[in-house]
Amino acid sequence: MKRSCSLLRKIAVAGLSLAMLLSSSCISSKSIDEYGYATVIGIDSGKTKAFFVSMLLQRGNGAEEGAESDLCTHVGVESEDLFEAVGLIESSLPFSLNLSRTAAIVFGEDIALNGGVEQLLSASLGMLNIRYYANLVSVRGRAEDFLGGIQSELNPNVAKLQYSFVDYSRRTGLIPSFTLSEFFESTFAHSSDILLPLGEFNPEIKKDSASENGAKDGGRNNSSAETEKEQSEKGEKEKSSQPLQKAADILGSTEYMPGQIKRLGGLQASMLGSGLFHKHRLIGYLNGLHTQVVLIVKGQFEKGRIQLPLPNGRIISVRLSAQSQPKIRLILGETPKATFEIALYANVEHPEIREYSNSDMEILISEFLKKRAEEVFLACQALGSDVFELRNTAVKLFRRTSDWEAFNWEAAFKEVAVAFEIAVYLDYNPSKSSVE
Amino acid sequence: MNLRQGCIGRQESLCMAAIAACSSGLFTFDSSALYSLGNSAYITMLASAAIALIIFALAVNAMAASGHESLWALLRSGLGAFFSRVVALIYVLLLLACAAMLLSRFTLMMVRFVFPGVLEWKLIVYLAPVVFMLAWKGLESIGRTSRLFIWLLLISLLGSLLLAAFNYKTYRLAPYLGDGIKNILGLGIKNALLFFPALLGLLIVARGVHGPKMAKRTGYSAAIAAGLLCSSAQLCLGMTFSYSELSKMHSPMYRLTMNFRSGGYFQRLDKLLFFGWVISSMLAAGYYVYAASFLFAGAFEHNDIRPSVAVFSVLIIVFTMLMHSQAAIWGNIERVISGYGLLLAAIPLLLASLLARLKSPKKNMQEKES
Repeated sequence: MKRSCSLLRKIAVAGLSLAMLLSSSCISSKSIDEYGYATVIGIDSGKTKAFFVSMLLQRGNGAEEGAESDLCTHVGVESEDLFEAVGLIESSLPFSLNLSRTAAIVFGEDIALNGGVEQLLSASLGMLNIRYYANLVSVRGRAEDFLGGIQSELNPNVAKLQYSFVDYSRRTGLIPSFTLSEFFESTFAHSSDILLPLGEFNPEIKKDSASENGAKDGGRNNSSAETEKEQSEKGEKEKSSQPLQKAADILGSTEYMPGQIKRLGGLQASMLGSGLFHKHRLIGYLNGLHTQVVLIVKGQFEKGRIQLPLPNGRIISVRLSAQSQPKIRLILGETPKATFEIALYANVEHPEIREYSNSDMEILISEFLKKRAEEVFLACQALGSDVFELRNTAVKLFRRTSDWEAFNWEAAFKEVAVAFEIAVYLDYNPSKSSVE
Repeated sequence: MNLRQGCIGRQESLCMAAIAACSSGLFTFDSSALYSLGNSAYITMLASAAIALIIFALAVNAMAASGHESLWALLRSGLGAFFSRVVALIYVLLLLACAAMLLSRFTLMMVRFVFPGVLEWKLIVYLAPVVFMLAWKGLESIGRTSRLFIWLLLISLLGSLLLAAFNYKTYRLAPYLGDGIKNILGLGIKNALLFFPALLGLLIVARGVHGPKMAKRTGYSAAIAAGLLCSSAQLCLGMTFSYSELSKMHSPMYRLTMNFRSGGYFQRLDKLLFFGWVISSMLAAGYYVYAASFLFAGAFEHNDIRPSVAVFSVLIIVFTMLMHSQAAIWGNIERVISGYGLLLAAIPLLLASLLARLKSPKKNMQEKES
């Protein structure tokens, strides 16, 4: 009896061990080189279908050194949504698409104008494993051109692009940073309107030879695309007859807008300023300076430089950094009133300027920023865009959810009278010389 | 007798009950009900833990005062043979439903975030045997395994809350009291069922944790710890997502981990932290199945707990599959539980406690002596 129990126990242990070994593996395993990772997705309007979805695909883990054409492929297809696009693109690829490393989703101007952003993103993107901190970008023109423009030997690892976006935003404040997660908050919580970093493709910038090779290997997969010869002939004609259309922001400025800066080299695609949205539709642009002002008021500005015009006409560089989070006082009622209290550190990067005292310089900087903030706020208010997130302050004034949901914030926002109190603390020593 | 009870110390029992209460409190609540009228969940969780604790305290004090060493003895003494068995069956079903809810939620999370497109039963066949083995091995195994894993589980929970801290904004919690005090109390009562089964389990296995007095101290500590942890987690969730977003999420804790800052090591941590949570859920489910089997064996005078454990382990798989199939019958069961669950659980227990106290042998002996 004891022997049979012992034997049974041994058989049970052996069986269990075998079962554990057989159970310890992947469900539908795939090796890493069987995937192509879509690092950037571009969305434009399609000719025969709702969208034209383009992607920059990277093989492996994107960290290997090698020819750019081996690393990055530009593909695209017309589809009704992202799910269909994935299926159609995979039909022409020797690997499966994987969207879990998507760093950015780029929206073309036409899609952004007609509400396609919300239409596309309202699908269950989590099923495609797109990370919630993927950045959203809006571009002037076509997103597929922008994707082509960021391929370059300067940017062999496109996967690092997101890090570059976020770092540039943090260092300069010239573009905002906006993620998919914030978009869902804006959609479901009906929180403030969104501000997306603005990009543009400039065909006048000479493309380097390595990225031209990459473009040949990838290329478009537009179902209604013209042949390449027709396209280049058309392109030459358009180039000669029409100069690049200048973009203006909602205050009419064309300075510090993407694609407007005279430069040599670099990527054909650039990012500067922001796209202003109201209820997820693009309604205008803000240039780099106005974007900085919005970020300063929202408390999302870390540091950056502005070009300050002095009374004598000279323009100087002033480095700004945030001292603390802005305070907002909001009073609702017959005439809603909002006061923004902002504190900034400043450093004038021209020690040779001695004609202004510290306090004079602080006043100049403060008045300059205050004026810009008022202009931008009034322009956004006229367009109904609560990009300054006043709604998030208003909700704190209510004790009950039912009272807040019965309150018409949109109507109240249009009546808000705003005041900005900007305190500048100058780190500026007139006795310094430019040698130090 | 093969009831696989043994005896565990205070630390083991506290870890076991706290893990069960936290797992249920963090992962099995109904998001649409909890957040639809604003987010006061960080207060509601405290209220729910307090209500569950009050019911537990009344019952365990009655057990101590009347000299009953287990819940079954209390029920039998208070309600008589027939009604005590009916109530015992209700508690058995309640505990099994809680175990199944845990399995169901974690299976859903795995299908949604880790193994997309995989059929649920293929994942349940990995989780259910672990629950079965824990319950099969008995109270000592569950207690000691809980004690072993408590630090991993605490780190995985607190780690997720800390790593998401960069994104916390207080305006997302507003309006801060949700839809008012009345709503908070109503939700507190409904959600007391999240914490009550863990404490109910302590009453059932009171003899194995050195009697009602020790069970009382353990229960108090477990309820307070679980209430505070769940409330903190809800506060962090509320500062990450607004109430309208939360009401549409079925796994807000997992979504929290998917918001970790981009770049570097931390963005891959969601699955690692999830691994810790799966362990806690299986420990909790094993505890519930064991407690249900123990109560059943006691109520129907079985000397061996093993058949009950086997049957109930299969039953929780059936319940889990029912939940996933969204069968109408499960919808009706959920409605009954969410609407009347606490009443069904608390009233018989409080009645039995009162009656048992009145009939208590200790009191009768003291009267005789005097």
